[in-house]
Amino acid sequence: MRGTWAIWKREARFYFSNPTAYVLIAVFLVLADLAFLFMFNYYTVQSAQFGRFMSEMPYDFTPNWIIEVLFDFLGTVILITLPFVTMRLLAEERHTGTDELLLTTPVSITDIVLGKYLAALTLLAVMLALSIYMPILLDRYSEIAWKPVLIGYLGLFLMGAAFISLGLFISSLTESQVIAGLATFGLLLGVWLISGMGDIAGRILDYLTPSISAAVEEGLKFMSLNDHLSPFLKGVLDTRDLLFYLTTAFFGIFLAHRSVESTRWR
Amino acid sequence: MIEAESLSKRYGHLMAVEDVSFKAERGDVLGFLGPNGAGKTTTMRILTGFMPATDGRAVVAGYDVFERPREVKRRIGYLPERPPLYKDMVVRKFLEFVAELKGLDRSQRSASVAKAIDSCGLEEVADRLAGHLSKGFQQRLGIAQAVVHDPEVLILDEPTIGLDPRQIVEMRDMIRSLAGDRTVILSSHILAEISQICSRVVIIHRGKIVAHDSIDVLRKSIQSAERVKLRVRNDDPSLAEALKVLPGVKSVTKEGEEWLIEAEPDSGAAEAVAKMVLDKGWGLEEVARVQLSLEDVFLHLVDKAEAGSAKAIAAEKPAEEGQ
Repeated sequence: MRGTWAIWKREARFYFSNPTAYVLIAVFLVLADLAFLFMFNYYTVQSAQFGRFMSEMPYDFTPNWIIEVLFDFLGTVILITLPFVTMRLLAEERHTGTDELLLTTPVSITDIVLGKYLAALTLLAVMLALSIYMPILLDRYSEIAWKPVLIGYLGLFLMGAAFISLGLFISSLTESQVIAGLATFGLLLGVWLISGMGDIAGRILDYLTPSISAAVEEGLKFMSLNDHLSPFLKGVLDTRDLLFYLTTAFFGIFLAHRSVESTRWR
Repeated sequence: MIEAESLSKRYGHLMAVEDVSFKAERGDVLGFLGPNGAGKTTTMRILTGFMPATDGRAVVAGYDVFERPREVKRRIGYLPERPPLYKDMVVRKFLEFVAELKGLDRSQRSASVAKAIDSCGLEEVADRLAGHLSKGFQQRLGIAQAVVHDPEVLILDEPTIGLDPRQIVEMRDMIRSLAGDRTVILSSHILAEISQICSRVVIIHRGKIVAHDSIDVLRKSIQSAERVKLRVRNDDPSLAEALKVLPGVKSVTKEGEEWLIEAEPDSGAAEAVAKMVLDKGWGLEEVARVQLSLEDVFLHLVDKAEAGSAKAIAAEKPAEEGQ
């Protein structure tokens, strides 16, 4: 635990002692702001036009709708930015030879992997926390339900936690940060797109073997990292989604641990 | 303090280290000598617990490296071949971080760091980024991170590599002053360096130990002849003949501008040669004893080791035929 703390401190200090964290946060907030303004504008125009027909809108057209769409977009931004956070985590240690220092001190591999993981998680938490002014702003001029907003934040955080663990694992496989970053991005995008592939596979199988089409479609959609996000954004806390993200995060950390351990035997 | 028992390490088909055994007591400074790729780094990495051996056993600071790696890691300081520095960290902060990893309490940390900075001569750069230091200071910082927790055992992999001559001298002095009653192992491929710092030496070649002894014993056992180098201004044709009759001189040969005289060991040939050159007025320019170089010691030992194994094979053969 003491080792985890020491590693976490160093990593967190690294992020905020050079431009890395600031650039990431700036990119994240600028994109979030643009999306927020766009959705806000769309919402005001729509509500002005439809006025009294609001109740007949096909979806729940309340200010919370802005947040829901905004958070869905933030999920994509997280997917794009997190590989830049995770790519250096373990790859850089191997590249500079500092892994030889860490592994000859009395800290365990679990300490190293967890410390690094928690540091990246901290950065994600800071990124998300800084975006809170958007719902607050909305709440000033209109009224929003806070419960779905907070559950939405939890969903984004958990999804990010799963992303980071996969990125951490990939970073342990190579000495090159560029390869780690690209591979992580590819993997996350792949898992993201599985949902769409579920649709396609379902439609094709409807013609061929209708009996299994629903199962395949469901199965592929279940593996998709973003399909588990939408219930959170609607304010629904489902144990299945919670467990999905937590197990994915645990799985990634476990693989990273095994991978660091195995480099010693090579 | 350090005991290695028939350590072996295999990378795929390559045997990097084979059946390596040696011992170092408290206060010993043990030199690991051998060409690049001989298995020095691999042996050191096994001793530090960085990688496990394929076979064999190692006890460092009283604990088995494979069974109690944490206890060992707490008691050793290790400088890898490339100093492991976080370039984005200030020297002082970096040392505090290492002290924390090594398990020092918060209360002990700043005193230990101050001591390491002092003993490694890092005062003037203590508040600079590690990545901005010169090679010499980076190497010193590498040593400082190894000694920050006052370890019983110090393992230094090529501590003088890439330094300029003045820095090498400073580094030697530093290692000597840090040795104290610690056990130190350091590797090098330069004999002169080993002979100046170390009390004992292990010579390693292709993953095997070819010699393990004190440095004087090794040198004496190899030195079957004394060699003297001579340079004169007036090259007289009778010089070779005249020198040959001196007591103890075995042969006189000319190599370019220089004469090379081989004599019986401890025969005082150098003095006799110098005296004769002066008496005859040949114009003495240089007379010097030729030190055995790493190549000489090393080739001699390798030849001996290979001849030994050839003999063993030859001895086995007739026995097989007899059966």
